[in-house]
Amino acid sequence: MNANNTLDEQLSALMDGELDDREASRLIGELQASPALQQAWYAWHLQQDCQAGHPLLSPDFMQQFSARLAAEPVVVAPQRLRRGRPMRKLLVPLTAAASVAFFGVALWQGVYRSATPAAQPMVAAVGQPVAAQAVAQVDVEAVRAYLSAHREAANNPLNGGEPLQTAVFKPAANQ
Amino acid sequence: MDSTPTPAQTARDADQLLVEKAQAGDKRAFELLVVKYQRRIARLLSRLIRDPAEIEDVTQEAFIKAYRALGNFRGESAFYTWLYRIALNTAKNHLVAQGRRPRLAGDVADEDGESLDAAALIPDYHTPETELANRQIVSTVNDAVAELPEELRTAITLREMEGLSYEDIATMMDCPIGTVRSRIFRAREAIAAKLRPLLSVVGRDKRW
Repeated sequence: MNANNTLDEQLSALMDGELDDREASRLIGELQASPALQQAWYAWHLQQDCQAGHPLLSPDFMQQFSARLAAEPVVVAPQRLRRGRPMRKLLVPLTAAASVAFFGVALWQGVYRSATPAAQPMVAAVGQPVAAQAVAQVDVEAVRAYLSAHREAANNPLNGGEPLQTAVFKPAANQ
Repeated sequence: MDSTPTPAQTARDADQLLVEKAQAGDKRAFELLVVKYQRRIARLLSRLIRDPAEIEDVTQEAFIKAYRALGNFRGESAFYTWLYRIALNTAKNHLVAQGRRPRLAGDVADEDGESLDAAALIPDYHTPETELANRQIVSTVNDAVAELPEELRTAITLREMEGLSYEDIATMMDCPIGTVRSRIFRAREAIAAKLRPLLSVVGRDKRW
């Protein structure tokens, strides 16, 4: 069987809907380019319609129609995903997988944030005396130096302030 | 799960491929669809319109309207289903414009037009020469089918008359699907060989 016969046989199968998508797509391209395949397409559909009992039209029906069609502006419509194409077949599972992944990431982020150390003080602080924690962490030496400097500044008459009542803070006296 | 497409699905996809080519600006692709569906549409319209010349005019008009509306075809239904509706509306509008009342000849409007008696619907066509040429074509096809070897005749008849898939024919004929495909192709070739002289007589038949 030569290449032309192979194409003809495929065209016959295409008419019967017995080619897969990829073969059909390639053969449609061949059909558009080959007058011999177009003649076969015409003759076989004529034969098919005769057997089905459909009425035959005038011999020049297609010629007249082609002339009318030639006078029509060319239709150019945006291409859409065709049913049965690989991408279209993958569209639904891919969309479902993307949705699952999105919710998975969102859920993981929520759980992860709640488990990070940065969030722990908010939880740990509940029921614990904040004052006790703060007192425990005070640097006594630093406080003492600060108060000493403050006292000196407060007692300076050039500052115009009242002398500081040192009786209030006497941590140094306890040392 | 079995994802093998059925013949109906792939036939629809073949139409869809041609529609997409036409939507991309290829008029030849649309002509291939007209070659395929012209007689089915004419048969449908013969249920509304009696005059053969009018049937052809309205058939042409329906295809032109379909071409103009092609940008709106989204492939949500089969191309023929969409074309069928356009053809019916075109015929009804034609009759209304003529001041006539649209009425289907059959009792039931079958989308495929398959449930009606075909012989009763075929109108007497045009000039006596055209009518003679068409009768010659029909009788040539019938004779060619009758002369086929039995296995080819059975395969093509089960396909064209019964609409069976290759798989079903293979089961009935107890042979591989590839053999069915080859037999149907060889049957078509044999019939077309008898038809071609009638289609190629210069000045008498300008079918395509």
